[in-house]
Amino acid sequence: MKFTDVARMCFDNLKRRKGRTILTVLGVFIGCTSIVVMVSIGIGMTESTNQMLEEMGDLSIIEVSRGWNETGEETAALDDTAVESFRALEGVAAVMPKASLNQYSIQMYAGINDRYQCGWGEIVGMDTDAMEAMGYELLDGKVPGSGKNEALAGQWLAYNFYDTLMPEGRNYADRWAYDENGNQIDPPDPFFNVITTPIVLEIDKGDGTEVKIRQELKITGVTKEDYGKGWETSEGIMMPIAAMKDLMTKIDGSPVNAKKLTYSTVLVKCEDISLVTEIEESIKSMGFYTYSMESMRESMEESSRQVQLMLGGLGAISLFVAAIGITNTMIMSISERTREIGIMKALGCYVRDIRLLFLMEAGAIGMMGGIIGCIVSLVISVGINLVSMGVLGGGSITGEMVLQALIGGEGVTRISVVPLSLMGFAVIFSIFVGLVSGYYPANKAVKIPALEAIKHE
Amino acid sequence: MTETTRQNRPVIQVRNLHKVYIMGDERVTALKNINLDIMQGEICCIFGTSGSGKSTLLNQLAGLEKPTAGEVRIGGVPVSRLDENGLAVFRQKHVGFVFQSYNLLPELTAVENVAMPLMFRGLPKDVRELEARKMLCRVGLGNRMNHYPGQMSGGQQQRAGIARAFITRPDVVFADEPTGNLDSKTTKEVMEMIRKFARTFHQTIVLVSHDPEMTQYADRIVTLLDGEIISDVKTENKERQGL
Repeated sequence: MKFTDVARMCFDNLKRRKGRTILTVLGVFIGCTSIVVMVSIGIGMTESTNQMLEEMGDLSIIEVSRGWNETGEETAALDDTAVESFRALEGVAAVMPKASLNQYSIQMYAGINDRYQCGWGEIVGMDTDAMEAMGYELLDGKVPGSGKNEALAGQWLAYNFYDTLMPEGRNYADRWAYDENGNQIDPPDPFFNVITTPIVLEIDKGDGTEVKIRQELKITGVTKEDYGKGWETSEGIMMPIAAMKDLMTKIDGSPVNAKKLTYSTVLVKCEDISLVTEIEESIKSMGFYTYSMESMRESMEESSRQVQLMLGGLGAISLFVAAIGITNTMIMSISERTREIGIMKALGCYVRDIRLLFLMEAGAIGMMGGIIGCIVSLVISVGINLVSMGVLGGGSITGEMVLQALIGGEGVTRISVVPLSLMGFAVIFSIFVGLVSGYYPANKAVKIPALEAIKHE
Repeated sequence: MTETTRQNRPVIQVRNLHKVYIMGDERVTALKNINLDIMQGEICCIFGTSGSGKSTLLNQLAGLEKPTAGEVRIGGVPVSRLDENGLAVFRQKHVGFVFQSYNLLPELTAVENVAMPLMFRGLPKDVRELEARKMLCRVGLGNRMNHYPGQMSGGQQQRAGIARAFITRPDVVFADEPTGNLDSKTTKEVMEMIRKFARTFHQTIVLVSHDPEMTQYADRIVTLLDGEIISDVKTENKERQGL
């Protein structure tokens, strides 16, 4: 028999027993829907966990600080040698040494006659050449070249300055502005543009003398806030290490301290998240103290996987019941069609075609249930997400919201996530369930003898 | 090859055929040591009362049941030893069936029913349905092509059944009480039709009946009683002598 003929017979048979087919499909669709919705909630949990971790920092970055033993002695120094040994590790994409000027007290000024002031300054020296590889993002301008006294500013640096010519209460550009309903609104522009306005550092050596060093810095670019890489990307100033050493020499009057400079932290970026554990272990074994998101991510991933399994298992029970329904339907249909099968055999129908016919009927029931189940799951998933996005709170549903509920979007946390792969898997799994359920009835069908055709009723 | 030599070649050979059914603790012997040769082109009527074993014999001949002992060959092929797949192939090529209760599938039209054996052979829909239409015209159902069995009379259904049995031009057509459900007028029509087809294509017909009237359409009457052949006679049929 041609495959198309078997398929035509299969669908004719399903159509002939429409009511029963619909009820069986209903069972599969409920089973499939419960699996997809349950798993989608599990995936939603994983997604929001990852979103949360990413907000906390880059998952592939290990933060290294110097190690010390119980008595407080340094076990490993974070110097250029250490940086080189990190760079030599396999799977390391980039290394970013960072030094700070925290030993000095710093004030910052900007504008004509030091109109704008800030009482403190966070100055970090870093390997600016490695910034791109590390994944630093610039909102404006460019990374400093070899020019002296060039630096980068954090995204919100300008907001830390107050205007000395304005009265109390109006002398800050409010970064955390809210409207009357308590919703955060876009902050106003700061008082000055850090790129066009030089910033002057006033540094107190901290040696008891009243001598203060003033140094003008030219800001060449602004970094995007990224706490995973350091607070300075938000509110600090970043300059090349060489420029920082020059600055230290100028402050101290001699290069003594500049020569002894060691790094406060070193960021090591791995090529892939999967390499983090291994690289972190290597660095630890060198005697350094390390910190990464990996261990946290692993345990969170494990627990969300367990939740997914549990929820999927709950859904699987109803699909199992549906599978029994398919088997039942097929057995009934076969006992009704005993004579028909006998006639087909007597007329020379191959056993394999009969088996194929019944497997196809069962598979088709599974497929229809799977497809309908996926569609319904999507609707339910969008519904759940819309509710979580606050639709019930009286807001109106816009097309954009539905789209965000469906495929996600910037800043949208979805409770239920239905990826295309989950739908594909659900349909294939439903077909598979149909085939497995149809296996026993199909074998029963092929065992019906041709003799049935000749029996008199 | 002359008509005579073709006529004399046995198409069905039955050797030492036994069939025993086990029902609970009881052994019921349905067929006892049957030996039979049916020639090509012969219309052979297996005659007997209910319980004589005639239906059992038909089942063995057509390969619908396995014999307890002995062998059935059709065209030299040991039907009684074929597996399911072999039987399917064999039935597609060599065997046709006409059933007492017509056995048309109720959800298929006359054309689709008649074309079914060709569908099992894997012929495309347009080819096999063209062939089925030709057969239906031959049996006088040219105006019932797209009717469902439920919309046809018993005689019409049986004519469709005959069209289905002969569509593959089988060597042997087995007819199990083909007119059992028909009135005498339709019986005559149907039997004449079977005989006409058999004569035209030189096919062998094995007819099973308990109706003595059937014997008038046969060339040969094999009578069974209690699972044994008690008589085997050739009829003096004019048409047959014409061959």
